[in-house]
Amino acid sequence: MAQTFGWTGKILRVDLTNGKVSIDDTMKYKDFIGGEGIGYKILWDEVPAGTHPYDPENKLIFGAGPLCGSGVPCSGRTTIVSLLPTSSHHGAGSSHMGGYFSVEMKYAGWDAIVLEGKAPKPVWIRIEDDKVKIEDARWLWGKGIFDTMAMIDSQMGKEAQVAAIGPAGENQLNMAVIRTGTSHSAGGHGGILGAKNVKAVAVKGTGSVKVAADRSKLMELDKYMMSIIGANNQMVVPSSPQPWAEFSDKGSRWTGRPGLYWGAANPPVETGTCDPHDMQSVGFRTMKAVFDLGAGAEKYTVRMGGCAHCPIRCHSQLKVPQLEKYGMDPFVSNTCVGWSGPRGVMYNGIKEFDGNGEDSSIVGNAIGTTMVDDLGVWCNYGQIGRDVKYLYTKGIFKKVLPAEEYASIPWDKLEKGDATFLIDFYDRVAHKKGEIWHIADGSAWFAQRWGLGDEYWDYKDNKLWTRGGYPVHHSNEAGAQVGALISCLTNRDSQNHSHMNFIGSKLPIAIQKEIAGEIFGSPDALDAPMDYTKMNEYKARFIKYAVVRGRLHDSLTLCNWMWPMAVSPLKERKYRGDTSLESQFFSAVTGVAKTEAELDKDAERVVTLLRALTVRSMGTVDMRNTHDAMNKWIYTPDKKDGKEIAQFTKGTIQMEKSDLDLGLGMVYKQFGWDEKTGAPTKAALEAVGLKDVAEELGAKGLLPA
Amino acid sequence: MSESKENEEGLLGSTSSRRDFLRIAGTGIAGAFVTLTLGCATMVRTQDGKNLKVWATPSGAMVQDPNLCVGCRRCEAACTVRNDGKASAYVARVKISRNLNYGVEGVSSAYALADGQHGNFRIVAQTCRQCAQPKCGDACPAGAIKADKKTGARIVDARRCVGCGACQDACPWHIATLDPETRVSTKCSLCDGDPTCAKACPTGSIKFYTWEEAEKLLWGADATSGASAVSGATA
Amino acid sequence: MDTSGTTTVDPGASAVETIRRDSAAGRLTLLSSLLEAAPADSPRAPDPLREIEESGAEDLKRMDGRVEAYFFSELAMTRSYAAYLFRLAEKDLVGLVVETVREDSRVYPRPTPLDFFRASPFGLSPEQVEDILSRIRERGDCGDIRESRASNGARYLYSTRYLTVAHADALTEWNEVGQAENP
Repeated sequence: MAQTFGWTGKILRVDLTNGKVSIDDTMKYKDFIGGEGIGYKILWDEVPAGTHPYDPENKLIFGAGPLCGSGVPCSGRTTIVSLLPTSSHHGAGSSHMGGYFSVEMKYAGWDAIVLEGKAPKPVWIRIEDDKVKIEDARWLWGKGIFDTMAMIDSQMGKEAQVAAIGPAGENQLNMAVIRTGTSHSAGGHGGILGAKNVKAVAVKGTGSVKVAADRSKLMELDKYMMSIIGANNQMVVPSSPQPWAEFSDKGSRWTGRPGLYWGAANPPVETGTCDPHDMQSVGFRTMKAVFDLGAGAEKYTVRMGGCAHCPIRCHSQLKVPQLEKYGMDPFVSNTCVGWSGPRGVMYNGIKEFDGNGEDSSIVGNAIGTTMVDDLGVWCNYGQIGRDVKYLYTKGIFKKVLPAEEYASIPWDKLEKGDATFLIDFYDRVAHKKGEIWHIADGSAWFAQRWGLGDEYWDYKDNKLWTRGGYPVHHSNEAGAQVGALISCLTNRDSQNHSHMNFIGSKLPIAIQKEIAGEIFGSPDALDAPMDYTKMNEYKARFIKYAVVRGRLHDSLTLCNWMWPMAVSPLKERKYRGDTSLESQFFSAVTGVAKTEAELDKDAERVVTLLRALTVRSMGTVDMRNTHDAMNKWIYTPDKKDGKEIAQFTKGTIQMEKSDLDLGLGMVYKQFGWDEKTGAPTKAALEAVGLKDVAEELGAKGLLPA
Repeated sequence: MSESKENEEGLLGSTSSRRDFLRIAGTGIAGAFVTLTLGCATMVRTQDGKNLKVWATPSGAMVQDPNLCVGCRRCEAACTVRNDGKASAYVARVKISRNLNYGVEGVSSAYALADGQHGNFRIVAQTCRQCAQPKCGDACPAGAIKADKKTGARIVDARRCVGCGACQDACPWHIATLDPETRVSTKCSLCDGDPTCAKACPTGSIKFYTWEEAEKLLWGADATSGASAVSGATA
Repeated sequence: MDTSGTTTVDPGASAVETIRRDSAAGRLTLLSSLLEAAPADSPRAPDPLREIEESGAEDLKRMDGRVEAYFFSELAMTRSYAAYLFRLAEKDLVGLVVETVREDSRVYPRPTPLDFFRASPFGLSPEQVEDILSRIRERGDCGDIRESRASNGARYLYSTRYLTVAHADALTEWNEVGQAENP
C-alpha cells in the first residue's frame, strides 16, 4: 500500500462467524472521507435492505477519519455506524463516542474496524498494532462495563483502550450503548455487539498518524485554531462579566471565572480569568460541573476531563463520597445528557433523600450515571425520562405491566424524588426483567407493543420528532425551522450541533446576524431567539451547511459539539470564526489539497448516501410523507388563556405546517433532491458521484419520477 | 569563562549531580583524569581506574502537575508533530497515555480508587528527568546520546543511533523510546529551549523548570514511582 | 457594597502603567489617587493628566463621575465592564440595573436575571436588589422596566422598549429552564 498521510490506509475486517481477519484498503473509500462516510458506504455495498440490526448479516463499523489522531483540536471522536435497532424502519445511523479509542485505533494502524457475522460464543477482540486476536469472553460476559475494561486491560496492558458493552448490550436491548473510557458512550448500537456475541474491542497502538504538511505549518494552524476556539458548543462569551469580555451570558458554558474552583482537587484549582488570548487557560474555561449539575457541584469536582487532543474539557470528573453508601465507587464522570438522561427518569425532580441534604440532586445524578454507565443503557437522548413520566402518569404502566410487577416497583420513590429509584429501575431495564424493560425497545416499538396511538406521538411534552422513534435535539425550540428541518433527515435524534455552535454562541443578535449574512447570504438566515420569521432561502442554506458539516465532522472525525467555528471569542476579529478551518487542517494533514467547498461536497456525498440508505430501507421514495413527517405538536399553536397564540409572533416557538412543508421542499432543493418526495434524484446522486447508488435505486423503482 | 569551567561549575553546582558523581566516582573528583569530550559529556577516569562519562548539567526539565493535567494529550501530539512530523502517543517524549487509564502502577483490583481515569481521575505523567547521570546515555553503546550544547538536554543523535533499545531498557522510567517505525530512539530534547508540549498544554500543567527546581520536584518526593511531586506547587 | 473596584496608586509607577495594571486586575483607576502626592524621588510625572495626554496612549479612557474621574485601559478592560464598575463606584445602583436591563433587552435580546447583580463584580445583597427594585418602581422614568418569572421561581427584569411581555416571558422560561432541558 502506498504511503498515506492522515489515513493509516488500512481497514480491519473481522468476520466473527468464522474467525477470519482481513485487511481492506482505506483509500478505495477516500471519496467518503472516513468515519461515518466509510461506514455508510460499507452498509450500502454490503448490508442488504431488510436486514434486521441483530442479524449476522448486519455490520458494525468503528470509524475514525483522517484528522483523528493527528492532534488537530477536538479530533478524538469515534463514529460507529450500523443499522439502528430503535429506528421504526431499522434505518442506518451513526452513534458517537469521545475518549481515546479511535486515536488508539489509528495508532494501531487502522482507520476503521468492521465487525461482520456473529461469533459462535462470547468473544472480545484484541488488537495490538497489526496483531489481531479473537479472545474468549466467557469471563467477561455478564460483567458491568467498568470491570470489563479493567479485566481486559489487566491482560493487554494498562494503556489499552477498550470499547465495551454492559448487560444491556449483551441482552440486545435496543437502547444500549457502546462505551469507552470512563464516561464516553455511543448510544443505540450496544445491542448489535451483543447480537454478534462481542463483549468488547480493545486496542493498543505504537504507531502514528503521518502528517503531510511541513510540521511548522500544522503547528501554526493549531495555534490559530486555539485562538478561535470557544467553550463547549463553541460558546464564545463568558457566563459572568469579565474585564476582558465585552459580553457575558448566564447560559454560557464558558463558566470559568476567578473564584470558581475544581473544588475537590488537592489543592483546589482555580479556573480563573480565562482570557481567550491565554492558550494555557483554554482547558479551564469550560467548568461543566456547575453548568450541568449546579453550583453545589463545585466542591465535588476533581478536574475536567474529555477526549484525546481536545483542549475543551467538557466531562466533569467528580468525587461524590455519598455514592459509597450505595455500594458504588465515589468517582463518577460525565457530561450533558450523560447526566441529565439517566436522572431524567426522576420526572418529579430529585428531592432530599437518604439524608443527602442539599446535595441530593448531585448524588442522584451520580447514581443514575453510574448505573447506566456500568450497565450500558442508552437514554435515547433523554427520551427515557419523558417516556417514564408519560407512561406512569397517564396510567399506561398500570395497564400494560402485570399487576404483580407493577406492585413490586417502588413508585413512591419516583414520586417523592428519591433517586435510589434509579437503581431499581435500571436493573430491571438492563436485565430485561418483567415487562417494563420494553421501554428500552424505544418509542417506535413500545408504542406498538403497548398500543399507544396519536396521543402519545402528538403529546407536546413527549418531544418526539417523527414516528421514527426519536426526539428533538436542538430543533425548533432553539433554531426555528433550521433546527426543525435538520431533525427530519436522520434515523435517530439529529445529533447535530453545527447550527447550535453558531446560534448558541451567546453573542448579541446584531453580530450574529452579520455573521449569518456573511456565511449564508443574508442575515435572515438567523432569527432572534423566540422571534421567528417564516421560512426563507437563506435558512435552507443554513440547514444544508449544518447537515453537511455534521456528516463532515463525523467522517473526519472532528467533534461536532465544537466544530464548525463560525464565531470566535476575539473582539479584534469582530467575533468572526473561520469556517474553512476543517479544509485547512484536512489539506495540511492529508496532503490532499481541498477547498472548503470541495470538502463540503465530499460530505454532501455522505449526506446523500445516508438519504439513499433511508429510501432503500423504507422501500419508498416518499420521504416527505413518511420519514420526514413531523409530529403534530410541533406545528400546533400554543394556547394562552384559551386563545391560540399565532405562530411567528414573538415568544412562541411553534411552527406552522404549511411553512414547514415549504421548508422541506427548499431543503430538498438545496441538495438537488426531488422537491415533492424528498428522495435523491438520479441527477443528484450522479452529481455527487453516486452513480452506482442511482443504478441500484433505479432498478428497485426507488428513484423519484 | 571557558566551556570546561562552565561544565564543571554546572556539574558541581547541582546537589544531585554532585551527589551522584561523588558516589559514582568513589573517592572524588580531585583524582579524576579527563580523557575525552563527547558533546557536553566528558569521559573521566577515576582514581580506581574506572572510565566514567560526566555530564553537563542540563538547563532544566519538563515537569507535569498531576493536579492540573486534564489528560487531553495535546502535549504528546504536539511533541511528535514537532519532532517527528507525525502524531503518536507511544514515542511522545512526555508520557501521558501509558498512565492515563490506571496511573503509573497499572491495573489493580482496586482500580476504581487508584490513580487514572478509571479510578480517582489523577493523571500522572512521566517526563524525562534529564538525569545528572543519565542511564540512557551511559547505556548507549554507540555514543548516540549526548548533552545538547544549548540546553544540556540529553538528546539522541539519530545518525549514531543503532536502534538497539538499550537506552529504553536502561532508563528506570523507560522514557527513551525506540520508535518502532524508524528504529531510532526518541527522547526529550527540550525542543531547543522552547518546549512544544508546554505551549500545547491548555491548563499549564506541563512546564519547563530550571534544573534546581526540576530536581526538587522530580526527585524530592518519590523518585521511584515516577510520580512527580508538584501537585499544586506550580506558581 | 463592594467598593474594591477602585484602587490606590503605587507611588513608584507612572500613571499610564498604573491604569493598565489596574485594568488588568479588573479595577478602575481613580483620578484622585493618581493626583495624590508622590514622594519627591518618584519617577512619576508630577502631573498625571499631562502624562496621560502626552503618552498618546489610545487605550486609556476616562469616565467622569459626579466628583471623581475614572480611567481604564482598553488593552485589559472592555468598555462594558468599565461601565459596570463606573456605576458601582458612583453608587448609581438604580442606573446600573436600569441601563443593564435595557441594554440586555436591546442587544442580545434577553431578560436580565436578578441574580446577575448578586455575583461578581456587583456582589449586591438580596436586600440591596429589593431596594433598587422598589426605587425603580417609584421613579417616573423607569416605567419600561418590568419583572418576569420562570417556572422555577427565578426572577428576571426586562425593558418593554425592546421586548414584549410575551417575548420576555418566553425568553425568561427558555433561558432559565428550557435550555437546561435541551442540552
